[in-house]
Amino acid sequence: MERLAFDLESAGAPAPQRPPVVVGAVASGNLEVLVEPGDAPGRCHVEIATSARGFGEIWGAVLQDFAARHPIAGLALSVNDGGATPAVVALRLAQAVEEYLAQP
Amino acid sequence: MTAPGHGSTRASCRESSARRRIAGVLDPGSFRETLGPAERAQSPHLAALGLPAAFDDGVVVGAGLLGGAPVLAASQEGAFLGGSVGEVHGAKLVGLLRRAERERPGAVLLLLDSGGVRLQEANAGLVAVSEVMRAVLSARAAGVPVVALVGGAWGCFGGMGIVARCCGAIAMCEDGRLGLSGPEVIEATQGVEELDAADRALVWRTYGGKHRYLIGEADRLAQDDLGDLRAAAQHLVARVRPLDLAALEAEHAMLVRRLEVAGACRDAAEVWRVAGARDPDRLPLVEVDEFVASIADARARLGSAPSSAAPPRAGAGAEVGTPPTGRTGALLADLFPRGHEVRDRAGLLVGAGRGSSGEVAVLGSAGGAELGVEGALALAGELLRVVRDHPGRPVLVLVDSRGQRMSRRDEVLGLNGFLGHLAATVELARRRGHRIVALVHGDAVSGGVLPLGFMADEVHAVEGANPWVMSLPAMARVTKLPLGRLEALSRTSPVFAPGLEAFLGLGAIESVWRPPLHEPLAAALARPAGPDLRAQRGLERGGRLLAAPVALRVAGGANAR
Repeated sequence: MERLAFDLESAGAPAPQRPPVVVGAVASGNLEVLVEPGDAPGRCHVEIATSARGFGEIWGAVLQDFAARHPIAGLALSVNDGGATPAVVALRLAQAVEEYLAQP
Repeated sequence: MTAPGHGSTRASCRESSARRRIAGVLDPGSFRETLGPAERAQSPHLAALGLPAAFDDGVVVGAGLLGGAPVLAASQEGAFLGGSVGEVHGAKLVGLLRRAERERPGAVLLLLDSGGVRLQEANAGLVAVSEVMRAVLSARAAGVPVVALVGGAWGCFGGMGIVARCCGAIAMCEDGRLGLSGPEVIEATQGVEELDAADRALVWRTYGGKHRYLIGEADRLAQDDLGDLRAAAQHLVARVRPLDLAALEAEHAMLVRRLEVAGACRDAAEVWRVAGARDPDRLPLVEVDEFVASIADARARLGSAPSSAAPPRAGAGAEVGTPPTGRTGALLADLFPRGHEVRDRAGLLVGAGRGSSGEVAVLGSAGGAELGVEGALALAGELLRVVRDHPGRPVLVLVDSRGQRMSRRDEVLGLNGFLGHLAATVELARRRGHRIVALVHGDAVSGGVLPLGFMADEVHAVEGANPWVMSLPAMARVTKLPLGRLEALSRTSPVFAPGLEAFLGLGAIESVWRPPLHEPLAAALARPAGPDLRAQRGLERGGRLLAAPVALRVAGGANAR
């Protein structure tokens, strides 16, 4: 297992404070993403625990791309990963943030 | 049973996540999770295996409404390690059930989707399942309806199959599955001739909702639809079986009757035929409503009164038994120097011994005997007889069993139900003032120790006793973890190591008795019965650091045990 941490810059208005949301499940080729309010305005902190070692660079690229497309400033993302592909990771991240923001 | 008009918005139970399932069964928007993912109550054991944990350890627990009435509910996530029960997962269930005992909600709903004990946390998982069994039965004895809902993709197997049958009622989706030893386990241990796990029709016929409903293991059959499962839950909450002598005698009679009618069957389709179901070969194909209507007579026939109260015995002379010899004989002589009338019936021990303060009923296993449907029924029958004829008589449970019997026939007949029934009779005896002390004197493995030994007020062991869950090579195969790694871990971690030391550390076994054994026996029988303190003991001994605090946090409040 490998633990990774990223601190992403994200433009735009800070995300609102909402109750935490979790989507997905830790399974082979799948992951769970927990979205919570963060404590750094203009930034998004991401922590990852993954069963697949040596993919730090790819995680970095997927997350940079994600941060550029989604308003995640002021959020904290935590991931438990069972070896998902980058495409699955990107979909889960988007789903998680959407569900977080859709809350009343 | 079906909800017309639901058709267009049908939501599959099988395809839903644990969270979606619980939201779909409870009143819309009413569910409030306790100890949710943001609290990060995660498994402390998985990192050592290089596995990521889940934020909620694979189970969602909390409170909500069902038809406007407050209920507590739990939902297992089959996608995470097969919904398996580890230390934290089990403790969340235990905490929820203890909260129910205190708050007395309208019901507890357990949405089960689990392969049973989490092998990656083997020993801690086995003890956790045992604690869940005791907590379910304790909540029921306190008058809280506990209903199991089985509709996930994984099914409900292993220890959780026993837990389901510790509940007061079960609703199953048509394509839910319920059993003890799953198809892969039977194929792996008994060979493909016994059960071909790849034969989907055979697997569904054996474990599926229709068969379980027909033989009376499930009380309500639903379509694969959350609305339908919700309707089944609402129906059953008002109709749960109480945990009293009359209800357990009725349950016992039903199981006796099942063996009478179907005991010779090895395939579910044969059971349907001998029960008198019309057109049994067509049954797997018909819709739920038509199925329920068409098998009503067969179901009633299986559930009717047996022709004799005694369960059929395995072989001639087995009902009498022989005086135990060898190691078991010496053990009994040491436990009861004033004498005993304990008999060994093909590995089942039944009888009584003369203790220092009067007669002590003796029940259990010897010689590593595996527990099958007949054995479980015989032990439950003996315990019910003690409760009926000898109020308050203390019970000594002797454990030397290499686990549940793994066979296709035992699964067809619903072995998990027989073991759940046995566990319920232990709880009944406890509630009626019988002191129950268990002594492990040999092997103590999974289904051989859960329904009787681990249900006792206190569990002790003699030197050389050997509790375990599964052999390390088999565990390596199931978990796909390297054997060398498991062997290394088993030398340092009480969670993996087979044997007495590990189970002492986890708090599952209280102490080791040394000869003369009648002395610790007398002392144990003289102590008053108390609550299940195994998790607390595991915390004090350092073997299980999270079970007690997690259960306490979910149970809520410092007043909770």
